[in-house]
Amino acid sequence: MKLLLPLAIGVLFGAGTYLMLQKNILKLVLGLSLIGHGANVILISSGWIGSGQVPILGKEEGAPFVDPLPQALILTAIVIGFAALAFLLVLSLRVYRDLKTANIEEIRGQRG
Amino acid sequence: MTAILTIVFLPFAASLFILVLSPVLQKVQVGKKLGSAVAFVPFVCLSLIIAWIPELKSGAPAIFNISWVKTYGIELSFLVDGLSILFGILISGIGFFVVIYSVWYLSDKEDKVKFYLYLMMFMGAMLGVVFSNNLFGLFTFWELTSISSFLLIGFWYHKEASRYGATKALVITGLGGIAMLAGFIVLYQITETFDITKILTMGDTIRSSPLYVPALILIFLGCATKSAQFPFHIWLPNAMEAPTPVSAYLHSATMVKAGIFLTARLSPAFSGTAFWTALVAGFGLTTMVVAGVLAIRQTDLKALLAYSTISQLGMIMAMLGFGTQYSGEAAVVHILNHAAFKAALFMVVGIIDHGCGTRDLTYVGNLRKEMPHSYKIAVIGCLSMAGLPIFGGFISKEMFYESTLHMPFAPVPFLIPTVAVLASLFTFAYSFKFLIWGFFYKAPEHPPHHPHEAPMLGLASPVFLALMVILLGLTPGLFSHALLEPAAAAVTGQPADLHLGLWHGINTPLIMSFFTVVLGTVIFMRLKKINAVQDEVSASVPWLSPNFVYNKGFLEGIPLLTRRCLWWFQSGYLKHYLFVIIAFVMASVFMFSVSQGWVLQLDRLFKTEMTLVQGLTVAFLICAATATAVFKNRISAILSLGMTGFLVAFLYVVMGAPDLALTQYLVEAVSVILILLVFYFMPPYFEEKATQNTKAVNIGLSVTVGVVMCFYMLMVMDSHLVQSISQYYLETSEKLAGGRNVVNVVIVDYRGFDTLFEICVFAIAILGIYAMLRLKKKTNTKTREATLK
Repeated sequence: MKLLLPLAIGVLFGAGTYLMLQKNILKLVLGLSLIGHGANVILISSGWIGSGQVPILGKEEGAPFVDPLPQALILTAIVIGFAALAFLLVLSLRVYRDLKTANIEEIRGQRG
Repeated sequence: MTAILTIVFLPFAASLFILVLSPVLQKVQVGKKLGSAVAFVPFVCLSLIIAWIPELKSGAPAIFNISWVKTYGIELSFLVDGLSILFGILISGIGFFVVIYSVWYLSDKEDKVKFYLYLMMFMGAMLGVVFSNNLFGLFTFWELTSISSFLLIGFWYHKEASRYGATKALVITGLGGIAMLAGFIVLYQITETFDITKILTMGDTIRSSPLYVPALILIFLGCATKSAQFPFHIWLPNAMEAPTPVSAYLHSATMVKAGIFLTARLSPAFSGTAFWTALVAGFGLTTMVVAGVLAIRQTDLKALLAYSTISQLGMIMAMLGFGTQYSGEAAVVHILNHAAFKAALFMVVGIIDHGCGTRDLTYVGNLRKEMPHSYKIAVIGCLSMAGLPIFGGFISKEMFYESTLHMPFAPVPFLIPTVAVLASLFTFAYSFKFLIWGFFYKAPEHPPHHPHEAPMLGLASPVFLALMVILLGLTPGLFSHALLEPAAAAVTGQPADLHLGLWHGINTPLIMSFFTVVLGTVIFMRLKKINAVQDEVSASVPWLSPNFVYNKGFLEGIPLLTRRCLWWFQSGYLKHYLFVIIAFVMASVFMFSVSQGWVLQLDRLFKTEMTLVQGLTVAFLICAATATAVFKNRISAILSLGMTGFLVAFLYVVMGAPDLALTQYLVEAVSVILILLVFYFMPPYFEEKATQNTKAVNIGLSVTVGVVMCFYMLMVMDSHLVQSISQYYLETSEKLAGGRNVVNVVIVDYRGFDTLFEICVFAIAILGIYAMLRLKKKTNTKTREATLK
């Protein structure tokens, strides 16, 4: 698992970058979304200790708790990531409506 | 205290007063009244400074402090000693005559309000420079002189040449000012004070410090640019585009002497080493010779005076560079002499320009009958400039020769005296060119209108200055005890004892003067031939002039370089920006790992336990993410992205984070619907027409990012850089916040502000989305007007 997690992060980042380098504005949005997932997985991995307990007090079983702090951070990140995704989607929709293109290279230099 | 504050701030106050009243003043015809009123300002300053002279003899210089930035030792501190008194008298005295002269010179069509506004600002700044006792105060006033000089040179801003000259002056003196500021900071490293009087007592510490050479070079760069030393002199001839009163004031008597002033001011702390002499005297003598050679070539009388000023500044600089007591005294004497005769000559040029409509020797000549009074002033000024007896210039010329004979660190015997005589030959020649060509020889062409003499108002100032020139020659004792000796004492750091006089018996300087006159006459007789050769040389090798460097290298080169850089950094292609960002992030990740000395230990990684469920989740996640990137059909791509999200959520479940999983499921479901909705309105995927090369770069970059992140994570997971603070949350969650779900407690309690701002971000995103969906595109104003009609 320890080897697989970094591999998953690598793939998330790599695939996200690949999508962002394309010319379609929607692929850019999808790519950003993938990189967002990658960042979240990095955070959760940093607090991971193999087999830990869910950090809810009251029914301790002796095993150590999973680090709650990265979880709190990810919770914020997921919500903000969603806000950004929605914003970008609507932005690209507006760009397409006004400029009649979804190609990033063609948007360059145009004024709406 | 009040007196010194009045001296420095009265001109600023006058400037501010004019500025505030300018809407009123510009409406009414100010005529000659404004100038006459303004003349009171330098007059008051002059009287206050002169009234101070008796106090000077009583001993120690007076210091006045006003706290400014106390923690850094920056104070608005003023120092009144011989040197500042001498310069103060020059600035306010010549300022007074220049204002009187300008009353005649400026016609009613000119914007006099602006002129006096700038002029007073400049005068205040200049007085601030010479009376400052703190390096930062001095620097502030110094930069103010650059700015006000820029405004004054560009006074006729509708002329291209004025704008060029103003910019050039600002660029060159401004760059020098920056070097000087750096020099002050280096000096602070040695002395740990910005207080000038304290610095002056630390001469030995400064000279023995390893930072002595860099500090001296940087500060001297400021002085050399301001005082137009070769090769930084090129701004001064172009600054002659300013109205003549400005040239007479700024570019003969005051501003260009600021560099001289600072060199003189700091010489007790810096002088006395071979490096000082080589640097300062080297620059000075080079400037003196080069500018002299250039001056004899000029036909524009004002340009001739400009080069002559450069040459004379070089001479003063050289005397300061010799660093002996005698040369310091000589420099002080020549500062006074030069200011008097040069200001008078500039005013004569202004009168000629006014009277003939031009000041070019091709059109102007044989003026002694039409302009009898200007002619007399010119005779006095030119003879003093040429260094002929009975005038002040002769005395300082002799002192200059004498000081070259006794200079320390002389490279080769007789070399420096020979150079001094050589330079003076040109001085002699251009002085006579001004006088003889302008007032005796007949010009080849006719001037635009018939020459006429200026009225009393225009003549008053140059006449008075010419009288000063005579007095400086005949009765130098009048000035030496009260004014020059305290000033010389401030420059050399030793009590000075001057015995100025025209006749010292037949000695070496007198013989040198004799050679100067004889050989100078020879050069003057052959001036036309020499000028022809000079024109030929300058036409065939244009890059010889520093102007070439400024025009080609600076004015054309820098915009070109900027455009290149801009094109490179701001290409306008999103991909280039992404590339730079990604490369930077990758590089910093790499550098960080290296700096931490992380080593990959694969054997330990394989040992960690892993359940089948966890393994399968991650494996599916990898497949889904790859699929999102490679699918050519957009519905499939979206579904793969949704799949990725759900798998990440499942990963949270198996990694002990149920809250995250819940949120992720919810968000992912909404996201997929939202993306599908937007895609409905958008065109299908178009084919990415990319070349093989681009594809390879894209894939290469993506793989690099993936691999770097993967290895980074492998190393991060194995190291523990910092202690997590989570233990605190786990221990206190129930006690302090009364919640058992620690993650929730952290979100709403410990990091409540985080959540609050998160909600703000959300709200802003919602507002943005609403605006983008609802607001209509603004129509062009023109079309809107058209529809209204």
